[in-house]
This record gives sequence, C-alpha cells and structure tokens, in this order.
Amino acid sequence: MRPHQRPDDPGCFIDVDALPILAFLAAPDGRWTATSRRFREVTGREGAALAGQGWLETVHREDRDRLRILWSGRGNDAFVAEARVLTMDGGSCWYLWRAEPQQGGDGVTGWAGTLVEMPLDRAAHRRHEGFLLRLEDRLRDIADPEETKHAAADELGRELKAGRVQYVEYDEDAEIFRVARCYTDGRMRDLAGEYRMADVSSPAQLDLLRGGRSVVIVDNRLDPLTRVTSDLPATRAMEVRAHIAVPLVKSGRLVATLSIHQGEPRDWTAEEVALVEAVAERTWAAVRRARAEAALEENEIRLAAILDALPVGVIVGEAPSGRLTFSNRGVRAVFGFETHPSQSVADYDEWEAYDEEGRRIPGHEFPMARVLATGEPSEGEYRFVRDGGAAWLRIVGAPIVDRAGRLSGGVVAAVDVDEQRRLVEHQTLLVAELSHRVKNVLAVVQGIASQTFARATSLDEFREAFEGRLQALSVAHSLLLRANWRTLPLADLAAAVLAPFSASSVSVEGPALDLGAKQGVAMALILHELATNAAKYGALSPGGGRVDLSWSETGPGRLRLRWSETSLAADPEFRREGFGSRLIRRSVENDLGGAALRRLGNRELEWEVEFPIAAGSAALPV
Amino acid sequence: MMVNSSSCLSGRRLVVVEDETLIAMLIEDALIDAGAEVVGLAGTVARALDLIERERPDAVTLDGNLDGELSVPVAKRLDELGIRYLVVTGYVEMTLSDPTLARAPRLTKPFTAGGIVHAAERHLC
Repeated sequence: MRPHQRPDDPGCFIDVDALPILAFLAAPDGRWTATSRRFREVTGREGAALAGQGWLETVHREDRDRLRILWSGRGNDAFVAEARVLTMDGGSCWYLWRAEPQQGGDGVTGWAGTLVEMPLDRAAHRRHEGFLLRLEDRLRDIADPEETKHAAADELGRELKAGRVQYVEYDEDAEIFRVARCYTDGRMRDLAGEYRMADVSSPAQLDLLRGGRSVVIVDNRLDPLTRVTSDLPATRAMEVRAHIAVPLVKSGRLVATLSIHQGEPRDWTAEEVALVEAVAERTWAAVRRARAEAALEENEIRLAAILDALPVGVIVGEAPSGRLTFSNRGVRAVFGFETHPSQSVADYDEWEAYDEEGRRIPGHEFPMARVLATGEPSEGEYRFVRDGGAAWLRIVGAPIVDRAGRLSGGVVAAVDVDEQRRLVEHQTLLVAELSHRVKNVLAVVQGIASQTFARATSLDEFREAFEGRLQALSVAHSLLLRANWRTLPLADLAAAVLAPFSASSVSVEGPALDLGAKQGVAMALILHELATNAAKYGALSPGGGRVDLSWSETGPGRLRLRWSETSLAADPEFRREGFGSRLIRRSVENDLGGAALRRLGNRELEWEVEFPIAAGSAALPV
Repeated sequence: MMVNSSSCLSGRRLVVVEDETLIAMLIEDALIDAGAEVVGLAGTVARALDLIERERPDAVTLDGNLDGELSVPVAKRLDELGIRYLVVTGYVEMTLSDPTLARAPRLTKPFTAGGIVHAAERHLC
C-alpha cells in the first residue's frame, strides 16, 4: 500500500503501517482492494486472499455474518462496527472497525477504513456478554437448586480463571455461614462446611454486605476492611489474598453471597466485578426458580397423596367447558368405575343417576354443572347406577376461583351414603313397627284389665287374676325379646308359664318347635288360663292331680297340642266354662287360626287345640 | 252387666274384625253392653271377607292392619255392599297411606270401652 499522499499538501506523507491501526481500502461496491502490511501480519494472510470478499475469512465465525450484513448495508454513511479478527496465534482480538466513503467528482469513489484494538474492558465486556448468555442457557436447564449453585460457581471460576468460587448461605441468627458448593482451580482447597461469621469477616465487612454493596478486596493484608481479619487462623486457613463478595440481602438481613477467591493479590477490574455481580444476580434468580419448582412439585405430590387417601371421590372440572380434568382414587370406590372422561357439561348426561321419585337426573342438574354455571356451591343426593347395582351418593360441589377472583373450575366430593340411608329407612320402619306393637300391647293389657275386672267379685280377686295374666303376657314378651321379637320356642314358653304352678304335677312333652310372635303370645295366655283354672279348681289345686301337656306335628306345618288334666279334688267349678274357656276358644280361632275341642269326664278335662304353625316356625331338629 | 237398650246400637248386628283376641273381646263386650249383637269375629282379611258375605251385618269395626296385611280389600267390599264401618287402628300412618282407609271414620288404639261405644254410636248407627 502506497503511503497516503494528501493532494493539497504534496510534502506530507503518512506511513499507515507506523500507526497502531490496521487499514484497508475498498471499491464503491464494497469489494476490498487493498490492506495495510499490519493487517496482513496480524491475520497472517496474503493481500490477494484478502481482496474482494476474502477479508471476511479473517473475521471470527460468531461475528462474521453480522459484520457482512452491516458492511453490505452501510449505505453512504460512515461505517462503525465491533468484531473479532482471527489472529496468527490462533486466537482472536476485538477491534473497532471504521470506514468512510471517499467523495469524488461523480460521488463515492471508494472507501477507506481502519481497525483499532478495543480497550481491554470493552473487549472484556463483549466477552462477558457472550459468557452470560451461555450461563443463562445452562442454568435454565437445571431443576435442582444445589446443582444450580454449583454450575454458576463452576462457570464463573473458569471464565475469570479464579482460584475458588463459592456460594455461601448465612444464618444471621446463629451467626454462622455455610459454604454450599465450591469451584476450585485444583490448587486451592474446597471449603464446603460451616463457619462462624466472626471468625472470618470483620463487622465493617458484614455491614457493607448487609447494605447490598459488593466487597472487593485486592489484597486482604492491605485493605483496611480486612487487615485485621486477614490474620485470623480461619482466614489464613482459607488461603485467600484477594476476593470479591456479592451479597443477596432480604429485609436488611444477609442471606447469601457469591464470592470469588484468589490465593495471591489480584487487581480486579471494574468489568470483572460487574461480571461477578451479573452472575450472582442470575444465580439467585435461578436458585429461586429451582426451589420454587421443587417446592411446587413436592406440593403436588403431597396433594396427590392426600387426595388419593381420602375416602371420598374427588373430581375437578374446568370452567367454562366442564371438561373433567382430575379424579382421585376414591372415585373408583365410590362410583364403582374409574370415571367418565366427560369433555363438556353436555357429556354429563352419561352419568346415570336418579332422584327419589325415580326421575333420571339430566347432566346439567348435577352439582358440578351447577357450580360451573353459577359459581356458587351446590349439593344433592342421587341414586347412581354402578357395577353391582345402584347406590345413593351425596355429592357436594364448590367453585374454584383464581387469584383474580374469576371462576376457573369446580370441584365435587362424592360420598357413599347408601348404607346410611338404608339404616335410616330401616330405623323409620322399626320405630313405626315398635309404635304399633306398643300400642297393641297396651290395648291387650287394657283388654285383660277390663275383662278381668268385669268378672272379679272382689278387688283381691281382680288383682290376683290381673297380675297372673299380665305375668303370662310378660313372660311371653321376655322370651320374644331374647329372639329379637321373632320366634318363641314352645318348650321354653310352656316351662316359663307353668313355672309358678306346682311343677311336680305337670309333665311337658313335645318336639322342639318355634312359634311366631303372635302365636307365641296367644299360646302363653292360653296356657296361663288352663293352668290358672287347674290351680283354682283342678289338678294343680291343693286337692291334687296331674297334668300332661304334650304336642306333636300332625302334618306339615300343623300342630296338635293336648292338655290332659286329672283332678283329685271334687270342685264343682271344675266343670264350668268360664271366661278362661271363652278366651281359649276365641284365641285359638283368632290368634292361632285353629280349632279347640274341650272334653269333660268325671274327673278328667281335656283340651285339644289344632292349628297351623305360622310361617317360619317349623319344628327344629332335636 | 247392664245392657243399654236406649243406645242406637241396640239390636244392630255387628261384626268385629280384629287380629288381637283380647282387643276383639274388649270391643265385643263393649258393644254387647251397648245392646248390639256381635255376630262374629275375624282376625284375617280372608276370614273377614267370608264372614261379611255369610252374615251381611249392619255395621263393622275394622282393624286397619290385620297381621301385617292392610284391610283395604275388606273396606272396599264393605263400600260395595253399602255397609258402614269404623276403622280401628294402632298403625295410624300406615292406615292413612291408603285412600280408602283414610276416608273412613277412625278410632285409634288404645281406646276405652266408652270410647269405642261412643265412636260406634256416632258412625255405625
């Protein structure tokens, strides 16, 4: 390249290659036509190789496209750009590129340009920009908070060629700090562990950090902040001479720092401090994000576990579509099937349920649909069809509202209330039944009282007769109660009713047999009448005698009972048919549904009663 | 026993339908004391229908519940024959659940002898 000669000052020559610049000339269309010797020396290329578009080959791959586009779009104005040039030693260097159009008679006659090395910090800045982008990419992919800290320390350490990089967490209450993860260059030790704050840092240092200010120490033996503590055993054990500490502060308390250490004094540049601060900022953000995601995941797992443990079915639907988005394990147990994957409220018709009147419930009436339509809670009880039959379920629904207060969905809980309903129904029946029985018993007692009263000639006689009959009634009911009001074993009944009378004179014989409740009570009163009469005028009176009570099945479900009495007393009343006889006959006809026959001899009295045994009281095997 | 010949029940032929014997006897005695004639007792729907056909009584006292069975068929037959009846029941709700029985005059258990006579005079004369 010829020395540049100013046309208006022929004596002035400037040797371009003496200047600390690289220079080039280009044609109006942008093709390079000449390069200075320095250019060729720095890049190690021949002039011919650089001509035309060839000079682009000397630009760093990452900057090439950008520069090419900028150069071809330069227009007629001065051109400025920052880009790296690949140097002879295999590295690269940041240059500030400038070019100006040369004006001539017909417009632009050509271009003249220079490349000047960028100041160190500017170059560093650009380099760091690239580093931060790469760091962000790496941190974004990490889900674990601990790994995040380690990755950041690692990247920073290598980028700044540090001795050690640490992520430190503080417990201000306990006055300790924990070194979480450490990058080292291999020569400095990993310091992971717990330390007392006072052992290492001066109060002034800590105050600075708490104020959110980064601490930059070039040589801790010389810096007033650390001169005292640099001599402490803990600090010396750490082998630190220079460091940068960037704090994370919350509510005036020191939470963490990202610090970079060097074993010998190091003149940190402003750019380097800025880089550590930028990395710290990105690290806090990434750790926070990772922690939040981990907590969220843990929460979701816990929530899912809770939902699955609930003994109710839980279903979630989204608003406004009604699409069912979640159902827990309980749904299977309660509904009898996994769930209908309803995609909309219209699909709710596929859930089959009926109300008390047997009307099929349409989809839009279910609590979930109502909640999604109104945003208000809704509940109901329905008889759902499920495997193995149908069951009553109680469904309670509530709205789900987002942070802005808008309806985002609905949740329903379903509980099986079938058993409960059955029990209530059964209870209602039992109470009605009980009421009926009690009223009946009272009426019976009333009947006994009035009949006895009508026939008694004295109050004592009334009382004795009344009590006796009431006792027989009571005995029958006691036995019934023991059998849950269902059956009375005839043998037990006979024994219980006859017990107050002279047992030695009575023989009881017959197969084991159960009578129904009504028949049992009637039989108790009948036997009581027979025994009472025998005690007053016959075989069971002081006069003496014997009674043979026996029964047998004369045919399937038919019973014949025989009362054979032989009296040694000679009481004329023995032969009379009194109220007792009337009661016996009526009772046999009405309550037992059978026939009674009375035979009278001189001293013998025989009653024969035949009747069908009520269903459910067949003779038991002996 | 004093037989009341001045009651409107005097000489009337009655049937007592009741499944509890002692209550049936109580009703029977009370009505007889009032001068009525009790031509039969029945404790089941079948026996009641049979008795009514055979005897064609003037009036009937009818237990609403006969051994677990509602006495509706008896009530309907009595309506057909134009025979008056008084429903006697301890099972109020169940009796009321049937329209035929719910329409008829009613006496609830327990009742007194005077009570049944009073009700009979009011509704069966």
